[in-house]
Amino acid sequence: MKSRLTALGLGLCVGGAAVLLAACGSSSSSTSSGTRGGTYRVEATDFGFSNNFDPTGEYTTNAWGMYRGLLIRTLVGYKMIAGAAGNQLVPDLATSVPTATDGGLTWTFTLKSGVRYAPPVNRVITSHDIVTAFERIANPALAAQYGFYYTTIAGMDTYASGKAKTISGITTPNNQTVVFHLTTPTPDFLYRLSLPAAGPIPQEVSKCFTTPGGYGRDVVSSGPYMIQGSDKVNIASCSTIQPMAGFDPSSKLIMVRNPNYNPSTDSTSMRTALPNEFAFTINSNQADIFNRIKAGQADDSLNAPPASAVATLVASNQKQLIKTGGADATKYISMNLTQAPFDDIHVRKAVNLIMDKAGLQQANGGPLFGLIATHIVPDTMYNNDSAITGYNPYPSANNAGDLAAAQAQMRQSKYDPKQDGLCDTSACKNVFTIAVNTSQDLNEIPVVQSALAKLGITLNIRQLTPSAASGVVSTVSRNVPLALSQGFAKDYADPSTFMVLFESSSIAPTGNVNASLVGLTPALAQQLGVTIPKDDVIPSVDAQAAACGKIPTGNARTTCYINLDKYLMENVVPWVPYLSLNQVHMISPAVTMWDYDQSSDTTAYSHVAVNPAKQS
Amino acid sequence: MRASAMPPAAPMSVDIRTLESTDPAPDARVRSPAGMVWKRLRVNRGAMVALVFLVALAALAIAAPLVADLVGHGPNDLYRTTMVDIYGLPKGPNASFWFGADSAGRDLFVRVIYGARISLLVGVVATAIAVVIGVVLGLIAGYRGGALDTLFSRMSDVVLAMPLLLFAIGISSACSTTPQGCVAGTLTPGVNLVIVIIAIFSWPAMFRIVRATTLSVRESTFIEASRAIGMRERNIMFREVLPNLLSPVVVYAALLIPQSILFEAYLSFLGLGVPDSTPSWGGMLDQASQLFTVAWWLMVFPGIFLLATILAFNVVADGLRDAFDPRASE
Repeated sequence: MKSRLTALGLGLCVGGAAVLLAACGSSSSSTSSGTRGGTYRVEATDFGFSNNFDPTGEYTTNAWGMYRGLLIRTLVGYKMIAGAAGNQLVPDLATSVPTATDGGLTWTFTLKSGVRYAPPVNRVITSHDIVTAFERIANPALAAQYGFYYTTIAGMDTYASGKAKTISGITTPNNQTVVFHLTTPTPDFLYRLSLPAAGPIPQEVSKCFTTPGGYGRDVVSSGPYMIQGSDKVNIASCSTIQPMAGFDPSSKLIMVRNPNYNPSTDSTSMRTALPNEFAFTINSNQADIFNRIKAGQADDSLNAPPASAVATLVASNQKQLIKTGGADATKYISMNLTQAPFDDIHVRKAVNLIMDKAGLQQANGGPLFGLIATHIVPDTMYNNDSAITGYNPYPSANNAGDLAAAQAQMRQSKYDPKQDGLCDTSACKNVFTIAVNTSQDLNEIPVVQSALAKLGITLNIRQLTPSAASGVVSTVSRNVPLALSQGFAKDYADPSTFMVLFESSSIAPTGNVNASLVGLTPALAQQLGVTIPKDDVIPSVDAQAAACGKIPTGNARTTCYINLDKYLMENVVPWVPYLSLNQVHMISPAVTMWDYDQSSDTTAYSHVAVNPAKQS
Repeated sequence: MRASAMPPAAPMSVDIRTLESTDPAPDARVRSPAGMVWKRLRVNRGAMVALVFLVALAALAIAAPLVADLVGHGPNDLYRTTMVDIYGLPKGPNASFWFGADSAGRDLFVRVIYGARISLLVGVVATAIAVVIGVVLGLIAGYRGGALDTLFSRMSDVVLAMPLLLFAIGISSACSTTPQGCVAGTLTPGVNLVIVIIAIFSWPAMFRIVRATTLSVRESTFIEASRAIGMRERNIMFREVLPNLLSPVVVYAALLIPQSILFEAYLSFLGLGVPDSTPSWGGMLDQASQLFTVAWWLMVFPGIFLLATILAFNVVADGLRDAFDPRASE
């Protein structure tokens, strides 16, 4: 499992502070009316693609937003609007959203008729194209970065190991029907099918790309747009296939209308397809990007606006050009349950109680950039269920920290022998801490240091780049006690995507996402070379997570995960969650329609429009 | 025998005839070379003003905790409810916060004063280390020649050829990923690591100056005389040759200090210097680069102090050069 927050970084964390907006923290869209025409121009300092835009392995927010809105239709998808409604599954390539049969082991889909690929393939999309997508996911050589979601399909592992020529668990009785046979009931299977890697891929083209990312320069569209130059690609043989001219990873990604797109097979609630063209271009000068947006020379950015740009808009009464949406992501401080002093639950609770969450929110730019988080999973992923909204196990006045309550917890810990409410032992001094050196995350450091100092905990901070910090924290043998500015975003709108962070099966020597080591057993600890403190038992939530995972999607499943969330916050306490993040965008005055794609946490490219007369 | 005690064979950089001819107020007192240098420097108004500034800055840096007490704000005290708006933007100068605040709500004036500590400490210590290494190696290489000269010269060439920033990034990153840091715990991110990095990249220039001067001095008559009377080589190097290197070493060291200060500022600007909790002018300028369009004070005040300090050291260095060798300024 990989956290997509680092990939979200381009949209969320770059650019730093400053805020505004009357509707702080809530999603907002511009006018709902837009006219056909124009080019929607998006600039970024970097596309940040993780797999060269090859959908089989691409695991970044930016790419998913582009795929869903413009290029790739999946069996089931989303309306690509803001809020909880934007996380609801709707049929896309399939005629309907099916329910599982055979005790939850079988899912049957009927494809809509008349849905065609864009050039150079042009033909009708069939059920076999879905199989091709999964064969690519199962192919180890193509490094599918979230292939673990599909191991529940029968025969995936056998195919991956080369022992079978087909995936036995995917059958295609005819060109319009695809059936998935699972090894175990998987209630969130539909969500997994909504991910871009599961979209149809033409085998006559994809067979020519046998390395990770290779297909990314020749993605054949099933959506309303195609990569510019698609119609010029010769697919007569593998040797004649050239990269599509409209995509150069170092400079541009241009998409034009797919001449084969049939709106009658789609829904305007999902895709309006108003602009004639989408132009994503690289501009290494971030300040220039937002100057150009203000001047109408660009319309949007993959980067979050910097403080100075937002402040200027506020001062000039143009705050309507700042748009936000809930990112379904949580920012948190991670505590390692095997490392002193965080091996003591009372210390972990004390840290939660003392933390100045309002200060951390301010360091991140204020309410515009996120609301105070008080538990693991964002409320929107629980459909804002009343059982969780307002839940705050570690309250404090103005969210600034409660010293008295924190000290009361500290007195119960083994690290306060003097019973003075302070962490008295040497284990609390110079605690090795990993921090991230982006501008926003640096702003958080003094807030955290100041808060923990009140409990007698001092930090030995290492400021690293985001990738270096991620590498160190995710290497178990580094034994990092405390990690600041951590973040995790959903892969899809089911709380299970967050709970994998606390399952023992997620613990790995490197690339470990369970940084707190929840559920670590003595045997696993020995394997990994980690020492569990004497007489300590690391709590586990494996059983609860497994139980919740078996419940079909619906209120009961939501309630189960809500209870698990609360259990984690009160009885395990692996994190100090402090921010439920927002995506922030600055748009140009030429944009007449804009919405937020809750499913991808990006601009809803399927619901934007521009007025060419106002563009420069 | 010291060359300075044998007129007219005075030290290479000090000529008694010149001293006599340019001494504005000749008197009967016999002055030491250091006294003569100081007398020359004293009449250089620019250098004296710069020196007074540096002394005042050093005093302020030493008294930084006292300054913080007087102001009532510590360098890491957060005033986010009063000095940071709800949008995370810092507020500017006022009666209580003379230089305004940074984005964490910390008193910028106090942090600038504390930042002087780091700049002066790093500048002086890194320079001192570079001087020691450069002088010792340059002296040995210049006097002994041969294989040692070749070895040390090639070492300096290698260091000069190294990509400075990449090296700094590499060392800083490598020493940041474990609690112990590098080299058995002796190098951890912070002031020590910054000093080591700067010293590593600064010694070659001093080495070359010392080596060149030594090559010239070793051919002097008094050195030959010392050899002739059987003085040990080590004594010749450190008692006869080294004093004649003082002039170029002192002058170049004075020039090296501001370079080291600037180097530290570069590293902090790039996030490779001291941690955020340790005030540093470079670190402040790094933050300022993100916010200067809405928080001018973040760039102006640390920038003025850094500029003035660099300028002052350069002016003092110029003055010392003139004081040691007045002919150079004619």
